[in-house]
Amino acid sequence: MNEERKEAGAARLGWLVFAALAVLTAVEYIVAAEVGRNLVPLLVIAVVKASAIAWYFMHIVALWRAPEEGH
Amino acid sequence: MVATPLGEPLHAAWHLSPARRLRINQAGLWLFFFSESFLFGALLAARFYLAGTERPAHLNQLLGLSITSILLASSVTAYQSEAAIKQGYIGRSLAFLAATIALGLVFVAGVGVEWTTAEFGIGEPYGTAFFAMTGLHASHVVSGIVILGLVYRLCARGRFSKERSWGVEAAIKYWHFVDVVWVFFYPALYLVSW
Repeated sequence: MNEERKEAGAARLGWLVFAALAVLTAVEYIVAAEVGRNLVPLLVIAVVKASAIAWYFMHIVALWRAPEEGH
Repeated sequence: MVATPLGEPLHAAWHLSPARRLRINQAGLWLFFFSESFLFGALLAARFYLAGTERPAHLNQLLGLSITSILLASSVTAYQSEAAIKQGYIGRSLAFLAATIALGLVFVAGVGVEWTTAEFGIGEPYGTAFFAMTGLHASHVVSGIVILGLVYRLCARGRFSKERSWGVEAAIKYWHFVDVVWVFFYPALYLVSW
């Protein structure tokens, strides 16, 4: 039961992050269409998207955390 | 004295606990990503050095947005595959791995379409940057597909489990890294203007 709840929580987090990335990509596209000088806003959005992937999908924080036994 | 990245003498590395070995594996993989980021960073800088912030008027924006969305979607299926195997759901992990591979193939096909229909030449400054960046990135996507394919095969043969999932995790982290690179390449090639 606990395993199932963890699995459901992990799956939900993945889809939430994907939704956020999709929204940011749409914002990126709109910024490109509407804003003339868009280098800085596009860079900021790209950094936010990359950070979300590194944090939630790549688990970068695990580098500083003691790993679980196994693997 | 020769030492491991964590400071132990080299001979001690043979007697490391699984947790310690995993930590070394993780550090090695992230160092690899760090070194790769210099390669992609140099290409990104070359794009602005060669062509400034200019881009051709008839870029296929719809195709660019589509392949970007596909790669982002492949990252979430890769994540779901990793989450599933860490909970011991091998079948679900395999299904999401297969979906990731399929989305990766669609991305590569999209890049192929872009290459064959591009209205700029490789000799132009923007074209040089475009083909170099998308080419190198696509080669990483292809190698990612091959790695995920190998992991799929091993996983299907029972090589990985809830307790032994590092191989799957490492391949999927590599896939996410390739996605992160595209997060910077997409606006630099398709969207930026100054």
